[in-house]
Amino acid sequence: MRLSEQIRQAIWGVSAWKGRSLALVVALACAITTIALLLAIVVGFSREIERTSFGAYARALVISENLQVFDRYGPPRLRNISPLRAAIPEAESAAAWRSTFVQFTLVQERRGGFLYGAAGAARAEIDADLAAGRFLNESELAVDGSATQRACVIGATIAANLCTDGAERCLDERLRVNGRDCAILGVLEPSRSVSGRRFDGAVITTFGAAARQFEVETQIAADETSWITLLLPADADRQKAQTAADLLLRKAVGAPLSQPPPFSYQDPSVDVRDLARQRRIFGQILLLVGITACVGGFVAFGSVIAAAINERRREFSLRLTFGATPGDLAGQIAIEALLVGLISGACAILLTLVAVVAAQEFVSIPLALSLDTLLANIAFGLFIALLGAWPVVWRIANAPVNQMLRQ
Amino acid sequence: MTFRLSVERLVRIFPAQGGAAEPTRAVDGVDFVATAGEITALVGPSGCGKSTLLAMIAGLEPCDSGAVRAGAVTVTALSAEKSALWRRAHVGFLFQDAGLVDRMRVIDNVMLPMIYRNAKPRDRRAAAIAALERLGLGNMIERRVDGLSGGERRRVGFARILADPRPLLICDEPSAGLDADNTEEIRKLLQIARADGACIILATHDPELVTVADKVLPMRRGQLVAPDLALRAGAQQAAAAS
Repeated sequence: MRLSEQIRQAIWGVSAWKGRSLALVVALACAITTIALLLAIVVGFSREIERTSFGAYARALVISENLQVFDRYGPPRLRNISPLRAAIPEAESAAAWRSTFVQFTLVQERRGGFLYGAAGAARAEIDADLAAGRFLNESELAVDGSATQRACVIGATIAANLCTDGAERCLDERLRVNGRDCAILGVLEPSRSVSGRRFDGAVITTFGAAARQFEVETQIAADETSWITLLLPADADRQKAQTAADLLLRKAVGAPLSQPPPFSYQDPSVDVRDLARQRRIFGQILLLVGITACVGGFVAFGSVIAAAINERRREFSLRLTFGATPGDLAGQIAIEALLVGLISGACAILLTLVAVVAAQEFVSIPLALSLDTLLANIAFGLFIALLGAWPVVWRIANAPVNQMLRQ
Repeated sequence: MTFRLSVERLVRIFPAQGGAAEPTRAVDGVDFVATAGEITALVGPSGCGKSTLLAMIAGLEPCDSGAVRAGAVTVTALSAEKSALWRRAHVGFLFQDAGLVDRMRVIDNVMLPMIYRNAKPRDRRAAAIAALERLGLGNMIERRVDGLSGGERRRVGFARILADPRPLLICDEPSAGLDADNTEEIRKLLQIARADGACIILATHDPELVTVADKVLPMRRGQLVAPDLALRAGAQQAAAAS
């Protein structure tokens, strides 16, 4: 029997029992949608948790002065950045920061807050969009700290307090930092990540200006940093990067390996790993729910198929009588199951899309849906359909013809 | 080559079931020969083994001993797969209940056996329409068969045979439950098939239908009863008919 004919007969089989086919499609589509939504929830929540917790900072190696050591080596310096980049080639970018507490005056209001001097790729660490104006440009962020322009970008909280008429108005205001003017280049939106929120209530300026123009009581030298951030790829070996940085910096400051490390290496991803562990447990719970839905769908599908085959025993007997081989019948049933699986997968895609849009629109549940997940819907539908129909297909293919006819 | 069916000492024994002490010898040493253009009637009460014998002839039921030969092929020695292939090429069926698939349309039911012979869709549709029109069913080709009367269903079953004639036609109680007019209709249809050269094996206990047979084989408890007498009776009936 030709495959095209088997497909035609299978289409007839699906369409002739509309109620049953509909029940099968609904049961299977619901099971697949449940799995797809669980997947979207796990991925969506995990991305959201990581992003709101630390953003890109979670992938960073943060080097600062080690205040626990007896010998004072001081903080890391700007000149360490280039050798560090060379020693850790996998680092995507580097930034140097210098922080100090200052007095701001904007309009008639005066208040205290942090001033951050930035050099290098600082924007990733802030993790905030611009509400108005622009961010410091490449020359203003030169990693040698040579830029000393009194150019400032102000955080969202300060902007909200000082420019009540909107972020744009801040650009026209006069900002004074420790009594010296600073041109407002831009205003930031609130940071998306927890680690970036420290910049919401702060002013960011060039590294050189922070060191040479705005600091009243300087405690560290002009080329010394509060910390250096090396941004690593998500799959990078942090331990290896830290060891390379430690060896390099020990050599630079002359600290032997027998001594404690001259600098401190913070691993912001420790907390992320905790979160990841929690997420894994959460994912396992959802996986259990998914497997239950999957088994439920499989059992429901298999039962309906088996009941349908019993109902159609007379038809199959006739087909065998007219010369269909058991293989022909098994093929037809398998194709019918695949058709139902395909339709269910397509319906599940629609249901998933509707559910995701509704969840994001009305209840703000962070769901991540990819093309892979949608295609997996169809593949999963086909898999469950074949798996559910397999016992019946096997029984038909192996049943003696006379037995089929007598039943 | 003319089709020739030979049933040789055929035996089928079902194991004891439902508290019965002895196994049932459903078919017990049946021997006969049937040829093309001939109607062979198996007559006898219900449960005498007619339907089992027909199933064995069609290769649907295995045998415990003996053989069914159709030309050079020993049907009882074929595997399930080969038996299906032989059946699709050589055997047509007319069932007691017409053997229709209820949710299918009339035309699809008529075309169903041709699907397994890989006939082209256009050819099988043309053959089905021609057969249905020949039997006066041309106006109901698109109807679903579950809305037809008993007589109409039986005619659709016969149209299936006419649309795709096979050398061997197996009819199992084709007139059961039909009134006199419809039985007469079936009689005529069997005569048409015989005229077309089919070898027809007919199981019935309808005396009206037996009159169309060339050979009558009475059965009791799985055995042919006095086959010589039966053959003589068949010959007498044939002579009377001519």
